[in-house]
Amino acid sequence: MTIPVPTAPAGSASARRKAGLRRWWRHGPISARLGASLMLLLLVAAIAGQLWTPYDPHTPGVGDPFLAPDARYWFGTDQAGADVFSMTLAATATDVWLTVVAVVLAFVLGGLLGAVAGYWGGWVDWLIMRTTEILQSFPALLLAMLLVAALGNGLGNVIVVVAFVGLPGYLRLIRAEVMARRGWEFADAAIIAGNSGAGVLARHLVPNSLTPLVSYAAINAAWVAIVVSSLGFIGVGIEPGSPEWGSMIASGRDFPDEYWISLFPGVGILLLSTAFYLLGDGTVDRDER
Amino acid sequence: MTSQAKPLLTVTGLRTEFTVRSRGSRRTLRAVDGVDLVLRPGQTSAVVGESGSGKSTLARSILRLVKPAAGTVLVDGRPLSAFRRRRDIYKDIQMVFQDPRSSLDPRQRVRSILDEPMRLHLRLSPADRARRIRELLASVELDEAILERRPAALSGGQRQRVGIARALAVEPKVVILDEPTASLDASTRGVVLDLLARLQRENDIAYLLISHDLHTVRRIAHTVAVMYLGRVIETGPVTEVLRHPAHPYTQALIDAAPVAAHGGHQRTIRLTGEIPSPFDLNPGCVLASRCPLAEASCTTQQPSLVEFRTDHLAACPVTHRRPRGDLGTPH
Amino acid sequence: MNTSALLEVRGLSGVFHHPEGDTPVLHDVSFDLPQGAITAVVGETGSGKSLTSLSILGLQPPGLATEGSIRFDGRELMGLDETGYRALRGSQIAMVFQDARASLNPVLTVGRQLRDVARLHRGLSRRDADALVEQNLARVGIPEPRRRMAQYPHQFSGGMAQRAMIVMALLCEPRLLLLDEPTTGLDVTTQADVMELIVALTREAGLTTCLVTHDLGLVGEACDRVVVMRRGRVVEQADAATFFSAPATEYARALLAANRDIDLEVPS
Repeated sequence: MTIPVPTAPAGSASARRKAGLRRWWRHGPISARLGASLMLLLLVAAIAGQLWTPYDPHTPGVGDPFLAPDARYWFGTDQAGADVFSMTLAATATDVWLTVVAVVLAFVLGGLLGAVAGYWGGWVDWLIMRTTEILQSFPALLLAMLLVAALGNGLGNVIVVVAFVGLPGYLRLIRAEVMARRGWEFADAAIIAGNSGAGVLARHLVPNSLTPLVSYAAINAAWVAIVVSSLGFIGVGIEPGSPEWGSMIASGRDFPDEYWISLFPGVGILLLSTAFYLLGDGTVDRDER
Repeated sequence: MTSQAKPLLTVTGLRTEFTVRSRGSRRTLRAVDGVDLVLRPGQTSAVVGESGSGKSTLARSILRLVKPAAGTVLVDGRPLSAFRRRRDIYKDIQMVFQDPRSSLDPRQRVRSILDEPMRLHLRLSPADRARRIRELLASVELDEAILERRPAALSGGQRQRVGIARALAVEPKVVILDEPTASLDASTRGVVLDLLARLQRENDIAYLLISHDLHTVRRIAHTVAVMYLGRVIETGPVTEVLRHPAHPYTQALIDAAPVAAHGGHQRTIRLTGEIPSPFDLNPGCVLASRCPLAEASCTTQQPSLVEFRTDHLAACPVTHRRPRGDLGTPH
Repeated sequence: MNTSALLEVRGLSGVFHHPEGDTPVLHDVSFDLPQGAITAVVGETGSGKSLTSLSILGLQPPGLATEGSIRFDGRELMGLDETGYRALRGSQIAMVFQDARASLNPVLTVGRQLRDVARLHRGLSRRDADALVEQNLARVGIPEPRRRMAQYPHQFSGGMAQRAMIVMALLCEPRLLLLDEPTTGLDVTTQADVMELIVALTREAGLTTCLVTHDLGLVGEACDRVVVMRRGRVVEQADAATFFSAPATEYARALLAANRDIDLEVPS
């Protein structure tokens, strides 16, 4: 007797995911749809800003200084005569990229440490939690500024610092989730199915604990976007001269009448944090089951 | 009555303690207090008790989900302590959980739920595992269409069948059934119990049934041990124990079991008060504070299991002194 | 005994509305609760028994649209507004839910909660209310009622909390008592005690009682009438004696069989 080996239909998983996405889009909360559209817009802007800008964002004097927005210079020009639209567009990539990488880093590291602390408990938990509490006893923004000042400027340092400062939130969230689920029967069932402790954690507890983390990540990203630009605003972090919304706002702060120098990068920050916030809000409502 | 085949599971003097810290003092609670059990191939032994009896802790201790303070567990003659890693014992001894809604990972599809224990315990090729999954589904009478579903998309009965198939996937020698039908509707319950009985016959598995429900016990178990506050107070063949209970607590359980008949039935033994706190037990019989038959000596001397009839033991000196171990109340 | 019905349910239908479409859950449900009798509404998960009992009190979950007629003492309840229902709940129709400890307020002592009910519904002084509560707690078999009254719900066992809830329901002197799975989750011996108590108290007070349960075993000992529901429909209703000796439908027979695997009462 020959038994045909059943093979999973190719692409079934991705097809399922696609269908799930479509359903989410159709029935999902309006806030999530809005956030996703906004995010898409920003990503397009980020990519576009790397490929093409009306003027070279790094070159001053493409026009006269302090030109108000008009048909030629959509967002006007700054004190050095550089095109604000080109600079804002070019900076989109920096801010979006920084935010996303910092959030992913905080998510992964915080998730890992929190899951370990929540599952094993004992002294591991004690050590991780006390360290976290010390970290959290500093005002986050101040801590970020101090750390960047200590480490020195640079894209990489900003990412590491912002991720580090945002990490405790993820850590605490997943720790609580894992602790709550550790006593559930499916955790015992996973042990009896032959999993090691790490297997139970990685295959069963963590995947079931991620939903609140994803929502938190989006909300945290809104905060990260603001911190990144705040660092730029006070002049620490990104190398001076590279386009970044926060430092653009800072450069316009001496010219209150020429509002456009600060306004448009400010709108960028607002859009980016709003996009993440709406996405986070939407994932809270999303029913995973 | 009991077959004399080599035991698959032997539990001797199992004791599990929990330490609770309150107001600076440490108090120890014996959730399981010196329990002995023997389980033979093709046999079902039931452990009956109410909440707080320690029956679930007993199951978890046998499976080493909690660490017992004392006692030995032999699986097929081999002590559990001889296994190099804890997870290796689950090749021989598996469990069906009470509530499949919480014991199945909500994110896993049925295929992966069934595949996981085989992947981790058995050296089988993916093709062999896929074949075995289909055999398992057939044996628990489930359709292959459910393989791609998640637990939430299944009915209660289907979910419990998946739980049973998962436990049987590694062809264990012993399966612990923890209230396997408590979460099911009455009409599904019987079907699942019949299924369990058939699977036992086909595979010569030994079941340890943990239950509070005497209907379930009567239906599939061969022997029964009644637990109260961590101790076994009566044990013997099911029909014998249910017909001629020798311990007042067993009689009270039987009296309280709901019977679907008009007018119900008479209660011969009525316990008074609440289950005492397991922290301040008197040195004597654990039931003494609630027992209508209790005598002065009951609160001071801890009774041990004494044989009433062949294989039928109970820990009650009061009924033991009476002719035929009668509980003194007419039926 | 007056055999007229205190509550008449006629043609009760219910539909759940959701974005993807409508799910009908109750189909033309009709039954009576005869005055002074204990009627059991029996069904498994999804039978609609709980939705029916919630509808009587106007407590339908959001999204459930019901129509039909529910008459209490000749008065139509369907379409009553919230004020109308509020006047009815407690004083006319009392309900005891499955999880007693969840029904009690965790931050107030049990005695305080019972006293408040006694004062509200009977206009008693604080002292008189306390005395009445103590007396009633003793009657339902709670030892040391004074001490227990000073305790919080979490200090009560499940069985004791359920007894306290029954006292609360009875303090209102309702005309109809609805019990939704009152003993589910309790230990077997406690369950039997609580059922006995319910039967004794309702008989004593001549209360009309509706016992909603999945457990036919409970019903046999307690009730006068049985209404069997399945998938939102009433499939059988009969006097208890008739029902248990000669169930009319295949479904009822199957349900009974599931509870009769053993005849625990073996004459020795």
